[in-house]
Amino acid sequence: MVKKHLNTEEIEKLNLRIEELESDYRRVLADYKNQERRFKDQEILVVKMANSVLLEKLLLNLDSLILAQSHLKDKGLEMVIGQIFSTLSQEGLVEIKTDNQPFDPVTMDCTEITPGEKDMVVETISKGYYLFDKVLRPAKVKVGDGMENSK
Amino acid sequence: MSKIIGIDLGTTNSAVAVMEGGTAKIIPTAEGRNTFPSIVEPIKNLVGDVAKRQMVLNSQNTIFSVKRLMGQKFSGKQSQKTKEIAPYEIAEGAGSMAVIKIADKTYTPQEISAKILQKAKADAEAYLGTTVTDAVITVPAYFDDSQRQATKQAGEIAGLNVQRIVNEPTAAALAYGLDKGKNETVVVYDLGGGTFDVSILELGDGVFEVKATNGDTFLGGDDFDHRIIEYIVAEFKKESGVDLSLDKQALQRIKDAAEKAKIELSSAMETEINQPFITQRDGQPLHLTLKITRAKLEELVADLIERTIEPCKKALADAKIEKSHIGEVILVGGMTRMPKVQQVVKEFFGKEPNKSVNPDEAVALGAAIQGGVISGDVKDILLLDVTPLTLGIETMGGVMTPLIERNTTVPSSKSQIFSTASDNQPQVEVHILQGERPMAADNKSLGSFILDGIMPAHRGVPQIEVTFDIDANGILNVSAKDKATNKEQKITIKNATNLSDDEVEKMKQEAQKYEAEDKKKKELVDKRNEADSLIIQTRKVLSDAGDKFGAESKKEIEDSLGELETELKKSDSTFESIDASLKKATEVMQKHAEALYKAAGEKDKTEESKAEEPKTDTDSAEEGEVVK
Repeated sequence: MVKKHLNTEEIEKLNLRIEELESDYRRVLADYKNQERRFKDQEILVVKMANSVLLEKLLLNLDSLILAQSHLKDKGLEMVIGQIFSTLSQEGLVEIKTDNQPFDPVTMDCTEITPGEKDMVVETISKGYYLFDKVLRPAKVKVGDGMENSK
Repeated sequence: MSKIIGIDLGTTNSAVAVMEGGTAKIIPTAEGRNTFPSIVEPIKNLVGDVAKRQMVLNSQNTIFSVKRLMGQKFSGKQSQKTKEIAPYEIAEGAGSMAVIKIADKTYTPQEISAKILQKAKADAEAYLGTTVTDAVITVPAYFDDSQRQATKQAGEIAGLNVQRIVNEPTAAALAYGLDKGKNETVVVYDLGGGTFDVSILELGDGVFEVKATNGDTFLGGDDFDHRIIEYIVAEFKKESGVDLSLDKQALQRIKDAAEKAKIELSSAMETEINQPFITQRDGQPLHLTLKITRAKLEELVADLIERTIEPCKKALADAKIEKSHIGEVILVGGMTRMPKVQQVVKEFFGKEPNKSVNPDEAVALGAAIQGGVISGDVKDILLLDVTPLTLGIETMGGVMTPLIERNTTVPSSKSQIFSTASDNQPQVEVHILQGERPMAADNKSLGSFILDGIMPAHRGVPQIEVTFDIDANGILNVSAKDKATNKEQKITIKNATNLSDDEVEKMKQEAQKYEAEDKKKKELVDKRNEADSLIIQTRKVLSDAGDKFGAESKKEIEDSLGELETELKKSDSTFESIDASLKKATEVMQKHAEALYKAAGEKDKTEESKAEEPKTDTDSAEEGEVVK
């Protein structure tokens, strides 16, 4: 058998190929590592936020219930609504404070401007909620325009 | 080289994507959504949903649809038309270009777009965990050089090296994977939130050429929403006499409900809008309940959809292409989810549109793919193969036992322990199969080998480890190893994943066709195996502890086993007949076993039988169910 000598050109070519493969390999490895890290975060998040889809839909129904109560002013219904929210708060639902707060677009959605103190929430149309530390739904609010004689 | 992100810088919404593990993925925004509104409040530096929420409060300082102003002269038609609808001030800037005036500051459209791109960059960095410096940004095919330049500048202001500006329809075609196909003509029908574009592309050897483009820059999903709102307001007025359009709060609720109804009617034929306590009349609360059918919605927006046809006609004429030459029609933009839109497109082009990619994400995904091509992420390695059919081996009774399931991404490897079927079996045959059918004979045989030299032992005792290892090139290595002696045998099968699409389809269809029949066959074999093992086990007990049984009991057991054996040997034995014999033999065996236990434990007599009896009851009950 004769030992075959590679000429420099061939070596060059092979070296380039090695470099290319190494970089491909690193790329894939990096993707994998990132993916792994994200999966870990995601796993925690998925468990924590598992209820968010259901809660979002449920909140729409609760809005109607609150509207009904604001009209009926029934003591019993008041208690029922209180019960529901106490249960939901055990699952991480926290109400976003809006009344007399300065308007904050991160947690509130301004749907109307109305006479009142400038940039302050004048009225809350529908309440907003956090689920743990994330904004599940921003509050819909009316914000003061500062035009009228605000006290 | 770091990752290159793809950005769909849209008129109403924007999205970001990146190549990961060989496929393009949408990067979720900090708010956890896949797209974000292209809305900017430059003074407080708010972008996206946050900017949208304060838009009512701060309409003069909140900029939307800035894309319409990119690279436009102030005196131009587009600028003037935007000026009419925009609550913010548009003025004439340097070089008579359109600029935006807020308080006493002026912003170029590039600066505003840069804010959107900055958010895209920040979201991507949070997702990827690294800094992002390079991007591919998409623009409409009709953008001229100055508009493209402006887009590029916006990227630079945002701190991004714009590696390429790509046409939106081209990006969409990439996302649909059309670059790998044949040379053909593709129509991209893009009906978004605020604009409609149609483009005719010519694909050849991986090169995309935009032959013609047309559209309506003031037609989109928002117009559809308005129609529904108008309808709801009109219906409510008819019914109650109250004009909800005067009540801002009610109008807001109707707006949300209209959008929800529009989305629901893409999948349902009818939806109900329920908004209790929407308003009051004479101190009495009024509720809004309204059913909207899909047909009604289609009637409401028929002319809007019709308006997309004229541009399509013009584009075809400009490209000088006959409808019959169109190879593919792809849909982009959220509004194309509407079945009526799809139907109209199909009727006009005479071709079923392709809607396999999420229409909101297609453009960003395509931009990411283009980025991947530039960075070298996208090469042949992108085409990670999957096994098209299940791979497995034949086990007792001619059953196919899968090891590597269909659609497993290769390379992959899997091991499982098997054993012998009869006592003192000296060798096992490993028969490798491919296919979805439960019986070995119905699948494709890929090869087989024999592992011999197994030490004499009872059936089920030897441990034989069978390993399937399939590499990235589809080469399958199968090995079998006797754990006791470490003796090993192996075989290499080339092209295990290499089947033509037709072959795969045929095999999958067969599997479906014969599903019921196959299930029966497998059940029969399982029953046979069950009977077999009962015979062998019982015989073992008889030979080990035969003296404990009386001669009469022994004979009775032997007889029932004999009967079962004859039944198994019959060529026309069925699941039911075997099951009947098997049950009989089991009963006999149980009866004598019970007697044996009773005799053995005089003291525990009552407890034993108590514990034993209910158990046999449940056993027979379960079997009864299986037969049914």
